[in-house]
Amino acid sequence: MMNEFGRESKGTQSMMALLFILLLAALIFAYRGDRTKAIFTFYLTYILQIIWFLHHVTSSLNLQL
Amino acid sequence: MKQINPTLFARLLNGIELFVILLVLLIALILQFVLNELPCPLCLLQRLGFFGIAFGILMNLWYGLRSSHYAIILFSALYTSFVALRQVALHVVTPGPGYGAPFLGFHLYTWCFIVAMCIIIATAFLLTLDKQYQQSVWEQRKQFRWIGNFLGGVLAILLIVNIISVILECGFHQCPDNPTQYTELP
Repeated sequence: MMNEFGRESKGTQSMMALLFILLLAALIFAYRGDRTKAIFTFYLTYILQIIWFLHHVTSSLNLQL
Repeated sequence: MKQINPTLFARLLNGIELFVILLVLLIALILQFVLNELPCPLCLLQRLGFFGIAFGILMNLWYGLRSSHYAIILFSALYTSFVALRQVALHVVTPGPGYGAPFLGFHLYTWCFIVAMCIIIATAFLLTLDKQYQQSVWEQRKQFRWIGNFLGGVLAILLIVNIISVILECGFHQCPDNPTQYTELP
């Protein structure tokens, strides 16, 4: 599958649904009173979000910074 | 003159902040389903950032005001602003009308950047209120628990709708960069 920059994508399996599901799990942990698990699940999701963002932004833009 | 309880004041501001985030997420869903504007992968990542902000605020409401919860809000707002800025830059260098229809004069990714910046400023302001930590977290947890539960319930519903929408849009493959239809719908 080609990505938004016309390159071949590195992976084909979706992580997007997993990220939302993990965040829901963090919310459920928080509601049930398990603060440590909730925060751990949140930061795990956060790291995966960064990885997924980097997966989408590896091409450089022609900007004069 | 009666003095305002700083903890209560900070919790009230947190509640307003959460209400604004929920409104943003609701508008995104309304535009998706009413105008059939399918979210791109970067748009979905921005939504995740907003859900992270909402999660941090909710932790403040459920577990009492703590600096670690404000850190979650700031990390998520920074993430949202980076993703939005990337998308803005992408459409600055690429000629064309941009992704999706403008909303109140700006595209949604531009609004995302503006709202994320406002959240960072609002959270920085909240962090200046030193006296907000005076009341013990155990006392705070008892106050207005129902408001936190109600907003948490709305957040959970929005998350579930997003999960179903992402699965319908992308299935278990990588989301298309320019989606035009729900790939999993017949």
